[in-house]
Amino acid sequence: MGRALSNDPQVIDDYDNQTPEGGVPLAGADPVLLDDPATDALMRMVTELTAELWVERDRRMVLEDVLIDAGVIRPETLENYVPQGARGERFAAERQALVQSVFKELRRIVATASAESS
Amino acid sequence: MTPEQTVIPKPSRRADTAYLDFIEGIREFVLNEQDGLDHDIDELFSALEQRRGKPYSTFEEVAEIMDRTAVGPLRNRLMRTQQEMQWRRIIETFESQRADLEAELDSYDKRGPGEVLWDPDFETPEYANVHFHLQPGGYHKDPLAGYHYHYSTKVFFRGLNDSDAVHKGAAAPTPVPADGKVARVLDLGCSLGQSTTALKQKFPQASIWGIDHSAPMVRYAHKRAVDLDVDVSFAQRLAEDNGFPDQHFDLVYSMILFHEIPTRIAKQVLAEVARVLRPGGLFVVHDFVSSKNSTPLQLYHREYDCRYNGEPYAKEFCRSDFPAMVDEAGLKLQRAIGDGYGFMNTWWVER
Repeated sequence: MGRALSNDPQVIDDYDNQTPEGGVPLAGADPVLLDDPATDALMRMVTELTAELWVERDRRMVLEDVLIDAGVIRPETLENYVPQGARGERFAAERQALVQSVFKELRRIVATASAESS
Repeated sequence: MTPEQTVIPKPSRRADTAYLDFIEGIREFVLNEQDGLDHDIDELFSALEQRRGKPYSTFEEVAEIMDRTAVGPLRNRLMRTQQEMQWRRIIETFESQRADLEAELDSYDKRGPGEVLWDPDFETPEYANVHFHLQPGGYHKDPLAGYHYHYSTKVFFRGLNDSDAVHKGAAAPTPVPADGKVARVLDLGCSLGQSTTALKQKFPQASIWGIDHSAPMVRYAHKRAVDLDVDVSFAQRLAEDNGFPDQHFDLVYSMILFHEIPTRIAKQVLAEVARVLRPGGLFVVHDFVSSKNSTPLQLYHREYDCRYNGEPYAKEFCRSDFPAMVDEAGLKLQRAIGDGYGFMNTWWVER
């Protein structure tokens, strides 16, 4: 039953389809709270970046603890590691996914400008 | 499972747990009462007031300073951003579990203790078609809204309510009618059913119902109560038209409902409470404080919540005269209790 909401553009549009009975006007899906949309976007990027940084740091701390506890590695093994071949490619792909995630605001701004100019 | 154990749904990936843990960290950074950003802002205004020799008395004065120093816009941008990030990641993480979770709700619908009544053709009132707290689809559109909302409240309370401590703390001092009889209890706008189960702990012999306009909420509340093995029941009904017989309840309870409904509906809810409470029965209300008991800085933060955090009616409620509405409904205000922080009030109302 029901429909998935997460990837449904209708849901974002739905912010404009709310029907509050009076009260304080709702800000809508994309309010500008700082001096201009660029500054808002920068603040979003910094926050998203910090979240991603923490997610990665959390994963690394989990992994290191688990591996050291299991006696699989010693702390100095990590410092000397260099990924090779397919592993190196995987590192590059992960890096690009991180950049996409952090800087998606720029693409959204472009998309918004495109929509407004069409 | 004991009521002390937590039944919060589990994100699909450790990375999602960590991401949402980060959001909790942002909230802690802003809201911590001892050394959070809001504490710094309080100190800033104390210093400014000391310098000018008198307190700020209006919302406009405070808003002008918040804007001029950029403190307000930056704080509000961060709060809005963390809220958007939170919902996006919560919905994403439970999306991969959707089929299982929807099947789980179907299965729990038929299990006890307690029961859940809901109607797939229920018409949600227009006033409730709001993305409260920016939750996409509000309380009612996504069948998994209960799972989403439960995890978001974990983040909101910064882990302090994982075992319903807030709801249990609020329910514990609930008074009893003068004759001591509490056989039937109604929890209005119950959402996840945390007050409902807390009330069962307080009144173990009572029959307890939680009602909410949202089917996803009452279904999830029932699942949660079954997991906790607490014998309470839930129904998808409106607080202003609850369908129970006249004078049916000894106690009616509402936890932070009134600030999420328009004043017109609040008056209807009070009239409905007067109808279903038996003579001598009590209505216990926990909700936001009135504007006249708030500082201009608290009003500034409230304005943000209304406009940018999907709470369109909160300002209206805070500016209303709740005791007068109680009186108008033919009920009698017994006692009003503040929380000491200027955020929440409790009203004990007698029929």
